[in-house]
Amino acid sequence: MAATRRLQKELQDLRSSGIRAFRDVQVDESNILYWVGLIVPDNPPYNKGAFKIEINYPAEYPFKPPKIIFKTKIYHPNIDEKGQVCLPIISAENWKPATKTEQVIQALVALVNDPEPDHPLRADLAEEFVKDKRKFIKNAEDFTRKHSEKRPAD
Amino acid sequence: MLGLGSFGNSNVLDGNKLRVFVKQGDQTVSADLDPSWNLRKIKSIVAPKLDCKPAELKIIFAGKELKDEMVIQNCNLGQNSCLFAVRVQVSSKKSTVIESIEEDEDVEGSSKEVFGDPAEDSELAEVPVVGTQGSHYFVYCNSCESFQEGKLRVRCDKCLSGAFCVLRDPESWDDVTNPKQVPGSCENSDCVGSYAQFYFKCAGHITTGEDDTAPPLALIKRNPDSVPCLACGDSKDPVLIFECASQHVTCIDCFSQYVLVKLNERQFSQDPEIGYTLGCPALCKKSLIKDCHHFKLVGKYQYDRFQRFATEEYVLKNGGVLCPQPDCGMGILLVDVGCNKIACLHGCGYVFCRLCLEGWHVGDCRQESSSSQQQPGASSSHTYSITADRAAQAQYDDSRRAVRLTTKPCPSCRVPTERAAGCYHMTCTKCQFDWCWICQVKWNRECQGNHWFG
Repeated sequence: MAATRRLQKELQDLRSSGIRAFRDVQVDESNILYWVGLIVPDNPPYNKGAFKIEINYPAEYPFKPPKIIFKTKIYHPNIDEKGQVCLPIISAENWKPATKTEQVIQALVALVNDPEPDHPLRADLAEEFVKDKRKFIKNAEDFTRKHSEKRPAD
Repeated sequence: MLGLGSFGNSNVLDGNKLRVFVKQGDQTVSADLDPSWNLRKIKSIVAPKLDCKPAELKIIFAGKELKDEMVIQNCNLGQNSCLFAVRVQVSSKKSTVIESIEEDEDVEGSSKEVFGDPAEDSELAEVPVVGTQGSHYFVYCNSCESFQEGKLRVRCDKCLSGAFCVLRDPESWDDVTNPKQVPGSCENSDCVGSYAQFYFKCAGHITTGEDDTAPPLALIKRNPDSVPCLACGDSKDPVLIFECASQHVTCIDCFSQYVLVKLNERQFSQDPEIGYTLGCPALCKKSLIKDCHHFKLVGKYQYDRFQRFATEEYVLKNGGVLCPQPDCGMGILLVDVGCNKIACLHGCGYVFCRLCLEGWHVGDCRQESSSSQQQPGASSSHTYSITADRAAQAQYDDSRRAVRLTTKPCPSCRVPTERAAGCYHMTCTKCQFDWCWICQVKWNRECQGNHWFG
């Protein structure tokens, strides 16, 4: 199966490249289509914590895109309460089989670090982000402190 | 870009002898050769039979002259190959021409025996570079049910005889696939053919005759630079190269999977010129596959589905309807576009309403039908009997009910659409219309603002 061979390769590459913003990648040996990892953003207000995500690859991968869900609650205009995120690089219309998970993660980290209020999933947060940035930052920091995972020591 | 390949490996048979035919004008002689001999030796054997001196002979095979010092086993001759001999003295222009022949043709050879001249009815021609290793052509072979290396053959485009000499080698796929690209002359005295017609044979099995041809798969090529597959990342050989500017590469396995995924989602494109096809998976422009034989790589069962889908799309795009009876599905192109009463004349005979696809009725279509009680044939009968037809129909009704309960129609094309997950912004897989699952209208800013994700 193309998905298995490809994902084994991607997992290896991802682990050896050691992206600092994506750590602790765990893959169940019996199901390589399901990955879990920790997003570690650099920008405030999210740099006070880390965020667990899961990546689900369809059996038809890489001809169909993976799906990403945040398992850690996050106060972010582009990520909703259910953890759904709107990431153009993995939308059905834009997906290209040659796109690697590493690129997807980089796009995701960039979105977390720099919210895009023009294409919000949560209109209320987007509005706050645009109209009262200071309040947004404070709320997001409080939320992060309360709900996020611990950042890796290094 | 077009490498001219060899004809396949020499197949040297028992005793290491290779039987070939040498043809000069109307004369044909046979010779059993040892693969270690060189051409000089062959000429010395053949010349007396042709009534001339060895030095006068020029031997041509597959468009190339075989020089005296060449050794048979390096010439890619096969069992039953036919060489052409030209007398050099005769300062005929013929000596620059090609020749052709047939090779590993029909070992049973009944036709040859009957006509007494083994070469005459089976020529073939060839244009490979002598000595090249490995074929550069691939074909889909219906006998082998797989893609195979191919052998390029040429014949006269008028009389279809293989006794045809080309004036130049084909230089591109256009030369090979389009008519009247490569000039030449037909050797048959009663034919005035002046253009070559190329065709392919499968190199994977012993040919069963001249009709044993196979369609070429022009996108499958050798991968000498080990370019990795864009999907799995492995470097395979051969590979399929799309016609986009980037020349994206997939291995054959991944290509098959790609076709299957797209087929299962019915997401092939309907191109006005090419028909039902696919483009490069990287979404490149101008990358549609022009020759649908490539889709045969997914196997017969899936290829049949491809053909059925292509036909259905064609019918629907042209305003036709598909018979709704289970196991029928006949495409019906409408003669009288104003009439809603449709009879499946060439299929199952079902008479139905074009609007609701239920059995034909007078008056308005029912909103929510209890169709299981209204089957043709069943309504007039008061006795209950279980028949295979009825059972199938009942199952079908359950399916229809499930479809009705779990889907909403695309506001543009009405295709039943299921929303499995994600946001409320729907993109129709059939007509690409963007719509809102909640409002059932074209997707707009208000939908995005109010209930994009519910």
